[in-house]
Amino acid sequence: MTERRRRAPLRRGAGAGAQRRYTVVKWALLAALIAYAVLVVGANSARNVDFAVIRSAIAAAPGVSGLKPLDENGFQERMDASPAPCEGWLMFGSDDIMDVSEVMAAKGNAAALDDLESAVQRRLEAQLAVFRSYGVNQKDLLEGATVLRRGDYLFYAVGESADQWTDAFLACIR
Amino acid sequence: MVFSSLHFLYIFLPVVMLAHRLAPRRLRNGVLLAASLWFYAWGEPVYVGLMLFSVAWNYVTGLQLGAAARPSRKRAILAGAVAVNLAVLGFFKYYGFLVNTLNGALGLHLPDYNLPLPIGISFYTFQALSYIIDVYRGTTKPQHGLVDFATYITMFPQLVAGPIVKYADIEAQLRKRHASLAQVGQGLERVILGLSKKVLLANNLGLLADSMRAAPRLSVLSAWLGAAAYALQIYFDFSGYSDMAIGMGRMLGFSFAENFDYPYRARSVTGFWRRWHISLSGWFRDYVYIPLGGNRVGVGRHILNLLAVWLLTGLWHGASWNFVLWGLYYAVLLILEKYLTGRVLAKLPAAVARTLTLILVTVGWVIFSNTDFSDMGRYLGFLVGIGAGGFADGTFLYALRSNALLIAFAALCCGPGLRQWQLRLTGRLPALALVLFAALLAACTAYLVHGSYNPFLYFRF
Repeated sequence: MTERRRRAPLRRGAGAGAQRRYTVVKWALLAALIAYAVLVVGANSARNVDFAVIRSAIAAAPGVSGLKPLDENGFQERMDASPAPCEGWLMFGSDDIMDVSEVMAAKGNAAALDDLESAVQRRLEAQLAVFRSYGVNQKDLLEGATVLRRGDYLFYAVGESADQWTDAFLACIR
Repeated sequence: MVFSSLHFLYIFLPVVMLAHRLAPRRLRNGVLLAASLWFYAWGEPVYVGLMLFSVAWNYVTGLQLGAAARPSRKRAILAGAVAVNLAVLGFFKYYGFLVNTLNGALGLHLPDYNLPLPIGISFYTFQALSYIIDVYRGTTKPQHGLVDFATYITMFPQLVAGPIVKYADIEAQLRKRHASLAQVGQGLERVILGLSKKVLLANNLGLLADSMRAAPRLSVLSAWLGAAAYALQIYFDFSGYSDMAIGMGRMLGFSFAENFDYPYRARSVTGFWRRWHISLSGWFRDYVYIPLGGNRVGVGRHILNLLAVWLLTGLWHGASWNFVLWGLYYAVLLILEKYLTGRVLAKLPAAVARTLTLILVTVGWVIFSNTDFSDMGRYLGFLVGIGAGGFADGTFLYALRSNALLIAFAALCCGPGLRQWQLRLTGRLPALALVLFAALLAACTAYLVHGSYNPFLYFRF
């Protein structure tokens, strides 16, 4: 009795009719899969824009003026990685050792971005290790850090205004 | 959500176990399904859709195979379904790898969408493939209940890191299961043991391995220490996760097969692969190796079969050429053992055979852990003194002194002795065993609260 009640409706009428129903359902599933894949790819892709556009947008975002733009040495010191392999990059950070705010964007090929992404993860882990025990606000900001990979771009932001910096970045590449 | 996180251990798991226990039997699969979707959506909300597609696609395929009368029709249904499963896996896991390879080799500019890897896609896809192939072969009947089938595919204990569970092994338990309080206790013990392996051993060994890998130059002994630390890290990481999966399954009333059998005690590479990630090697044996003819063919064809299986095994582990090389490395070792060195190994004293196997496996892990070939070559060179900073150095002595207890205890845990002692303790002095497990859980919790380093190596699959 239980077994009969639990049979899916598609099961009734085995034979050619059932096979046709199954085939229709599977074609519908495939169509849904293709639409889903297009949406996922679209969400992860990025317009190819001049990096200067991204630099201007982020520099103009609220809160960035209080951070210092870093040169290559400063980047390397902070991230323990070189941005040289990238086509374009920027980084802003705070001079105050208690302020974890920083924002980075880079454009490059997959290998360069993979290395930078690993550097970002290491940076976050190191910062968390420093602030976990006594910096509640800093810990929360670090745990809420934004790390995004879109097309040929990598973006990283930590700070009270990280959401606004992220929006500024995404607006450039959508 | 990872198993070794505070919100999983102290919020998700107790809530789900309680809800499952209190739910009427006919609703338990629904509770488990809802929990599993919540678990997956916590870290991967976008890719829940992909997993639901896999559920729907393979559910309908199973019914379609069950209803098909002609063998040719069944073959066509299976071929189409397998192709779609592999296409989904191929696109979401391997597209970037393929595109970057073609761009590099042929100078093309194909777009790389940098799709994040859907967690667990290799595991649930292989689980679904095993189901539809078994239905095709007639070794299992199609599951008519969509909720029951979805529960099988999405079950959170083994969704993201295995073991790969065959449908036939848990079909009866999907219909009807019960976990007595004793079984819940046993399951919880297993969860705590797995968590301890992951948090107390693997994470700390990982720190040692990473510190060695980060050094620009190593002495020979430092390189071997780093490689050994990684070998131990990946074992405790992965087997710890499998222990937790098996333990949680037990708490829910499921009985999953063991996935590890003390692999570092193997006397040969063949033996190692009968003890490491048993569910994966079993999957490839049943669904690739044996259908290709296995070893019941001529020598040439057998060698090709082994090469094919291990090429695929390597690829399964990651979308990168080092994994292909790792798979082929093992193919060569297994072929040599089968046709040349096997008899010699069998006559060696156990300690010698185990040491040789450990050395080969450790070298394999160096290949496995380095996606960059120049880093890999550099590290392999250090192991044999090429480009190394001497045979031993201060780094080695410092690392050994600082981690001696950890390494010694980890080596002890690679054998069955400690587990057998714990089982005897649980049987004879349950109160003391309870205190021991409570202490382990407290230690793991303290570590998770304090520490920030909590990677899980097998999440990339």
